[in-house]
Amino acid sequence: MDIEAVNFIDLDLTKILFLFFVGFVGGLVSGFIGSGGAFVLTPAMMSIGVPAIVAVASNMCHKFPKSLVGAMKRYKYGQVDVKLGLILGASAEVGVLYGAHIMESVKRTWGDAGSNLYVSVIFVLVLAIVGSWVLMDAWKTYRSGDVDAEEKPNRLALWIQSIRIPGTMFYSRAAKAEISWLVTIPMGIATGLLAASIAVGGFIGVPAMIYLLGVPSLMASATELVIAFVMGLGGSIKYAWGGFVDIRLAMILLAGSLFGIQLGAIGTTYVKPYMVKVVMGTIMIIVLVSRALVIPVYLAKLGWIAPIQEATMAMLKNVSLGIMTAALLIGAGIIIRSLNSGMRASRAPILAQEGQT
Amino acid sequence: MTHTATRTKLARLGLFGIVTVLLYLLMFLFEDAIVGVTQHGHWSFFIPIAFAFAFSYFHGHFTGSFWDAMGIRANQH
Repeated sequence: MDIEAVNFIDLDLTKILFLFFVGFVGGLVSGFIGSGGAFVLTPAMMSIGVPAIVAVASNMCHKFPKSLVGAMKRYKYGQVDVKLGLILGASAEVGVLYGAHIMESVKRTWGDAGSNLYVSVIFVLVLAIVGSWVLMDAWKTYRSGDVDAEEKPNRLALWIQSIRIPGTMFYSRAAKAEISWLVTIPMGIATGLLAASIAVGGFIGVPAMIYLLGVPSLMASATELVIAFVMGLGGSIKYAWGGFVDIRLAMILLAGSLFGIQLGAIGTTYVKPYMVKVVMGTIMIIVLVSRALVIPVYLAKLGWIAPIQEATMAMLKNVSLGIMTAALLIGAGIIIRSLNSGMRASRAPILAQEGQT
Repeated sequence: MTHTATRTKLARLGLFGIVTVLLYLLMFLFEDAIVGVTQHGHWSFFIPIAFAFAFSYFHGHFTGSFWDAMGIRANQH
């Protein structure tokens, strides 16, 4: 890697405030659903002139301390299964390294457009399948009217929990069952592969913990923070070794995201568990639309479809970034609204009691 | 909440806030030197990692105390 070729940008107050705000919103969403802010942070940094590799590296370097703080906060609320997080995190690290290798091969073979097409197609496929599943599940819970009921593992999760492989079993306090770590390896690798390509491994990690291991939504989103910490630390060391981390960008993002992640974590103590699925599913579906919009741009660049005019390409890219940012803001809006109404509902009996005395 | 508890919490907020601001000031005061060293990569990788841990400890405690002081606390039930 050519270290001398990488330039770090000059920072002015506007850029600092912009990064602080983006970091805050990203942190808020991550604190609530375990991940999710990263996909906007990299393009946001690139939009102010940060080279792609520095944006990815600095994003990664702000992600692991943020996840650490979020995981510790949610551990206090009894929502984190540290053992499960570390086991999944270790295999996710393998997935990240392999995913990075795939990305490099795609880029070598088809160039930047091919690499962008690959990322966009992965985004659309994963988010279409997992996102619609998660949203439909949340809708079913809402329609059933049983939103306060304890989440129970589905049949697939019960079957996975019934698998006994001697010497590989560990007790997961989140799933309240013994699970073989051999079963968790493919899940961790898939989470890492996704993280390496679209920067948000949690879009597979959290649903996998919920639907395959029988972990309740709130615990799955909290445990994802441990996985994000492990993956982020490994990735940051790799990028910092190459000299690509701009510490100033990473720390400014961290300044905002630590405010956000604390708020998101507090929010999880007020909401119904299915709200994690609502926020995650909503963000996934909106991001899917955003990525689907730019697929023709990359297909045209590769010459696989008829050429598209430069102005149309620029318009599609801008609309895509706008929709992506909207996804994050809508997610943040739902979280703040839920936190606000949850706090009001929780304080109502106390205020009523004070009114009587 | 007792008066002493409130004072302790505010003292914590102030202390972590001051250390956090100092860390950011130091980072920007020595911006060129830090960026210059970290851009070379290799063993200087520990600088961003150490920074990240230090900031997460002090700034993490500060932000936690900040929301607490603002009355935004976790649901105890």
